[in-house]
Amino acid sequence: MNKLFPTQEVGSLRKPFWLVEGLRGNVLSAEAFAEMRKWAKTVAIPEGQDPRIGKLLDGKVGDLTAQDLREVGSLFALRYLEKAGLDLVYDGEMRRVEMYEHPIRNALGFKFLGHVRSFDNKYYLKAACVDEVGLKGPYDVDEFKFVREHAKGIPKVPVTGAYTLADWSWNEYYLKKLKGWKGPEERRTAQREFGVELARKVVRPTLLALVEAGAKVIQIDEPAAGTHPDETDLVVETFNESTYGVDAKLTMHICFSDYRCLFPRVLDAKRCKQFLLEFANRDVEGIDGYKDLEYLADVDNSREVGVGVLDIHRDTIETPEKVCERILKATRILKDPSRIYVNPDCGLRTRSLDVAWQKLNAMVNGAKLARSRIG
Amino acid sequence: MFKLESEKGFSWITGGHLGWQDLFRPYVEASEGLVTGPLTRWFTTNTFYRRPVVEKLPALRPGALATSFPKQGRPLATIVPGPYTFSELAENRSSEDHEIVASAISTFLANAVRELAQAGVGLFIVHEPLLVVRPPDKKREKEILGLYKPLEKALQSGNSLLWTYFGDAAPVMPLLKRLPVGGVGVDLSETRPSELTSFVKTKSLGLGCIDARTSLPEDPRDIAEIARDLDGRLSPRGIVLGPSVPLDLLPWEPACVKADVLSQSARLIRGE
Repeated sequence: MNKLFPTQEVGSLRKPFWLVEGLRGNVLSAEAFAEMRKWAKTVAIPEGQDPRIGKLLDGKVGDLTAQDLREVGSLFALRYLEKAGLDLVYDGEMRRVEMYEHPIRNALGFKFLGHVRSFDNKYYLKAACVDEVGLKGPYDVDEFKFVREHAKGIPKVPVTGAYTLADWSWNEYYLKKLKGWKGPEERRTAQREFGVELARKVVRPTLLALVEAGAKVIQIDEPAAGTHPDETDLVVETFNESTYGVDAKLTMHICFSDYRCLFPRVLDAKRCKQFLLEFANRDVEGIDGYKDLEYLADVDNSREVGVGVLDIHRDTIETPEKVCERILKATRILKDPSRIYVNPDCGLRTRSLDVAWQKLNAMVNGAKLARSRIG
Repeated sequence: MFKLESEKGFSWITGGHLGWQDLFRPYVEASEGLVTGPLTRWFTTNTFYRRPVVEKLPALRPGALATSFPKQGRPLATIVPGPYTFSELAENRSSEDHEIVASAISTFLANAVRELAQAGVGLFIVHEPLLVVRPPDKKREKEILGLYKPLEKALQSGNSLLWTYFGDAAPVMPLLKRLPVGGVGVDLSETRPSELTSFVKTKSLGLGCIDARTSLPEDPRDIAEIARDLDGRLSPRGIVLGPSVPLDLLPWEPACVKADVLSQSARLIRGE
C-alpha cells in the first residue's frame, strides 16, 4: 500500500445477538433489537442498502433464511470495519462457526468428538481424523464473492492453515498406520503425513478457488505454529504445499507463541509476504512486549510485519497514544516503516462489539498519529 | 465427577478440578502478591494459561483454597503446582531476586498444602512438567532440592506424588528420585519404559499410561505388561496408574473411555 502503517483486521468479530438468535430460529430479544438498531445507526447501514435489513429492523426475522441472515451479518461486519476506518477488511467471519470447526465441516475424514478447553473457560469443538483426508468442495468462495461485491476497502480473506487444522485435531487415522510404541518421533511422522495431506487436499484447492474468484490478499491463519518448537519445518512445509501455484498476496497470522522458536526458520515459507503477529498481550507494565520483534529485525527485510497493537483478551481500551507508541517502537526495531502493518493481536471475537469498536477506533487513530510523527 | 471417579473405583477422587481455569489460577487467586498475567501457551498444547505475575512475595489468604473441596466420603486428592514449574513460569515484577521469589513461592505452596490437608485432602499430586521439559542442569540441582525444603514437611501431612509430563523423565530420574515426595510419575508417551533403568524402593512409581493428547484408547493389556515389567525390574514401593497429562485435554466421552481403560488396567495388574 502507498500509505504508511496500513490498518487491517485479523479475522473474527463477535457475532451480533440478532444473528445468533436468528440462526437459532428464535424471536429476537429486546437486547438483540437494541444492539441491531444501535449498530445500524453507528455503522450507517441504511435500510435501502439491502431490503433484508429493513425486515430485520421491523422484527420480521422469520421472513429471512439462514443464508439471508448470514449475508446481512457479513454486510454488517464489513460496514463496521470500514466505518472504523480500516484499510483491509473482511466480514468478521460472520458466516463461519469458528476458524477450526468451519473448515473441518467442509473436509472429509473427520469425526467431531466433543468440546475441549482452549483458554479460561472457553471451549471449542474438536474432531478426530478417522479416515483419509479429503474435501467436500472448496469453501469460503461464495462468502468471498459477497464480500468482494460489497466491500469498499480491500478484502483480505482469512483461511485456517493446514498445520493448525492438523494440530487442533486428533490424528487417529495416520497414527494408526504406525506400529508399536508411539513416542515423539512416531507421532511427528504421523503428524507430518496428516498436515501435508490437509495442505494438498483441503487448503490448497480452497486457496486456488478463492484466487479464481478474485481474491488478491489471503491470510493463512496458523495460531498453532508455535505449539511444537521442533515442528517449524512442518509449518513451512504445509504452508508451501498449500500455496503452491496460488497467485495472491499471501500472509501468515501467528499468535500466543514463542517467536524465538519460529524465526528465522519460518521465513522458509517463501511465498509468505507478511507475518501478522500478536504483541500487545505480552506488553504489560514493566515488560517490553515488543522486544520479540527483534527476531524479525535483521533476518529478511523483504517481509512485512503486521504488528499486533490491541490486546484481544482484555477489555481495557488502548489509547491512540499507546497504539502510536507501539507502532513507533516497532519502527525503531524493524528500522523500515514501510514494512509495518497495524492490526489487533488476533480476531476480536473475544470482545463485545462495543469494546472491539473502541479498540479499532483507537488503532486507526493511533496509526494516523504515528504517520504524522514519522512525517 | 466425584460420582464418576467413585464408580470407576479410583482410590483417590479429585472432582476433576472442573472449576480450575489453569494449573495456577486457584493458587494465584488465593494469594496476596500474585496476579494473573498474559495469556500464554501451555507447553505443546492448544490450551493457554494466565502467567502468574509476582508483584510482591506471595502470602496465602487463609481459607481461600479449602472451600473448593467439599467432603465426599472418599479420600480426596488435589493438584499442587510444583515450585520449580511455578517459579520458572511466573513473571517476577517484584523488587526481589528470582531465588528469593522462588523460595517464597515454595513456602506459599507449603502453606496451601497444610491448609488443604486440614480440609481433608489426603493426596497431593505435585505437577512439575517443567522439570522434564526444561530440566535444570547439574549446577541447579541443589537449588531445586532447596526449593522443596519448605514443602517437605507439609507434604508429609498426606500422601504425595510428583507428576511429570510433556517431556522425557529418564534423563532427569536421578534428581526426581531425590525429591521429598512419596512417588514420582512419568509421562509414558514421552518416556520410553525401556529407558527407565533404576528407581528407589522407598517411592511409588507413577505411570502416565493413558494419554489425553490422543483420542485413541490404549489397550489395558499393553499397560499391564509395561507395569509388570517396570515393577519387576525397578521394584518401586508401588505402582500408581494415571493419565500422562491431565484428561481435560479430552472431551467428556473419550475421557470416560480412557478412565475406563485405567481401571481395567489396574484390575488386570491385580489379577482380578
